[in-house]
Amino acid sequence: MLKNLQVPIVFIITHMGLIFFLYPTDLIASSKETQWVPIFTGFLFQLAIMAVYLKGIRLFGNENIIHVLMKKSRWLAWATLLPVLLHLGIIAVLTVRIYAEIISIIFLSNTPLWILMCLLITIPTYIVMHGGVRGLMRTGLLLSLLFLISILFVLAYAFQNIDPRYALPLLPDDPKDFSFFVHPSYYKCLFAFSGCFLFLGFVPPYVAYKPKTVFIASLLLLPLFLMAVYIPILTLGEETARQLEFPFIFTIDTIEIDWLMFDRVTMFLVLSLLAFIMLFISLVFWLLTNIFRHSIKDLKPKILVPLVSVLTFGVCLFIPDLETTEEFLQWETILLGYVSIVTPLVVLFAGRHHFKQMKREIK
Amino acid sequence: MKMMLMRMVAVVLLFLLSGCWDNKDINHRSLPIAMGVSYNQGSYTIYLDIPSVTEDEEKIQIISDHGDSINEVIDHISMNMESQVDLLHLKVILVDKAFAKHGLSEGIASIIRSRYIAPKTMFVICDEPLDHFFQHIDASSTDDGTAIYDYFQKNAGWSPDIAYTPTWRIFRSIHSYTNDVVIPMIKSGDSTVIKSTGSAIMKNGKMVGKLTNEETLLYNVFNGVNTQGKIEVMGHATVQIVSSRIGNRSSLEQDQPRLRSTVHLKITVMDTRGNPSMVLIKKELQELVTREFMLLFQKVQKAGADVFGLGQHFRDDLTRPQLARWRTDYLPNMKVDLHVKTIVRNTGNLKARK
Repeated sequence: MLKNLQVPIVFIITHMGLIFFLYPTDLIASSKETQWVPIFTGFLFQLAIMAVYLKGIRLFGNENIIHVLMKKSRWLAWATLLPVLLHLGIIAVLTVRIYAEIISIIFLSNTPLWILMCLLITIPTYIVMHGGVRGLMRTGLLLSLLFLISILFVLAYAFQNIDPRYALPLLPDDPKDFSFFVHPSYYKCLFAFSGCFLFLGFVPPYVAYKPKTVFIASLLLLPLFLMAVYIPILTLGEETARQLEFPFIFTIDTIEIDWLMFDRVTMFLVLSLLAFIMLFISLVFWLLTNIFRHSIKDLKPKILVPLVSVLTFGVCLFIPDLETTEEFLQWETILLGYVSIVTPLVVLFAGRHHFKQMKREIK
Repeated sequence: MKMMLMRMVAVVLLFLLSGCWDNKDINHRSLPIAMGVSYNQGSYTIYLDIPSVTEDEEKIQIISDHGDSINEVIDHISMNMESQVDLLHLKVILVDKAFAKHGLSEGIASIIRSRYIAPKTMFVICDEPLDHFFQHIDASSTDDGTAIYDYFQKNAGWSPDIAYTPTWRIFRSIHSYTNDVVIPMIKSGDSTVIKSTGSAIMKNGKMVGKLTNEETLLYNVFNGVNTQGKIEVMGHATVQIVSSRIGNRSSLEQDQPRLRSTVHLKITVMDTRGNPSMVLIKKELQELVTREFMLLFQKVQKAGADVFGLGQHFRDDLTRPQLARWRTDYLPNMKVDLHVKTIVRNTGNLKARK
């Protein structure tokens, strides 16, 4: 029972790590009112690419994208996997760098940045080296058992200071309400929607899952996508939320719970989410090494994983500030767009072809 | 051998990854509970109220210094003290009237930016010179010096005729188009440590007027703060408001905003004089609340500060650029019709005349 839930749970909690920090900032920056329109647009985008992707994967039977593509044509495999590899590499660097900065801004301001990046890299490296993907999924299950309760508690309390009238007007009546499509920030926040669905195609046959459960999991994410944006807006108002670097975390800081002995519940939320982010980073590391091993050179994971993490760390050290990182993230959206649209389509076509071939072979 | 190496690496990691980098022990930190900021022509004077609890005595320490910015002064104090000043547990920030009239926006922005001071920290205006106030606190404190903190705690000394304003609400008031705040005002008391003198009306972070304690109570009732406030009714009775609820209906007629509000009050009778009937008490209470509220509203309207967040009701009717002009173009023309409905929940242990 629990074994079937591993993949959907990892899918949910890695998204949770991505949702609550940069995504609200970018989304609020991209639209002035009726924020649910861009949220739903992003969400529908996620559902669409996932539907295509999962459909393709189901046609593979119990095989992995790399195997199927490699068997079909080396050229196609390269055209699909190389952008994915590049994308994952950039994602690994940017995530580590941004989240180290977030830790520094929110609570460890005296700690040097490199030690925070070290922390964000060492633990995922360890998970990938010793557990592989199965260990990773089990870790996800464990983390969700440990942290989901405290996160839900804090999220429930986040409604403490809301004023629903800040959400008005509810219906978009001005063409300006759709101007988010031309705002660059909006594409940056699509990272939260399509940042980590790729792993679904690479985990079989190592870990089995039912595509339907993942689909349900992505529906469960909708309230979280809405809350991450609407809680700051309802508490502070759009004009105020726009001023803040991390509006959601700031809103959590305003919660007052008289009966609780802890003064700052933000810590529970942030630390739990950081655990989820570490899981996300390990997932990216695993994907990187897995694709590399099966398409370029089959190095031993014991050599390859530390190599990847040292490389990530080295590149991270060269990025001077948060602004540069966000600029890189802005450029990365082009690659992200390419990867999240092209990969599912390729997978679907390859899947169809593969399915027909298998049928013919059986006949 | 390999196992041994792994264990050693694990132990090293344990120390490296603990996050306790440059950590200072709690006995090497000073944790101020209140901070006073006074402003005089571009220079700030900061007062810190630091409780110091030892085995045999509890006392407070007041430290002050001045400089060009809040952070500079705190660094200066930290430098001159034997321990490091840590504002993480700061609970109350006191500013003097001069600072409040000059405008708090820069001070608030540096507090929000610094991330050392929690956005929940209470904001208070001191109605007398800060040095005098802190001297008084120092002299009259008999306990661990947390009086000023307890005074504003909802589960300790707070009472419904005092405004309750954390820093983040002031930050919101500075940037929001339709929400202003009032900040409690205090001074040193004669027989008590602290005395409330009402509250200050803030508009975009600037003090523009003053409310009395009674008006603050009405403000709290209207804003839906769960009060247990007591009101004197025309010399006939004293009642306690046990719960209040507001229904609002807004409409916009030719650029004139109108709000029809109905306040539902549930009261209990505390004491009566001359055996008045319940009908009389109810009627007089309704008249009193309506009249007082209209006076209060006119005062606020004149100051141009939307402390009731009335503009919130018109977010659907006005466009964003119009809302940005809410305080100047719409609020002065606004009309409010207030209806008060009261229910006497009980009359205490004594029966009352119907």
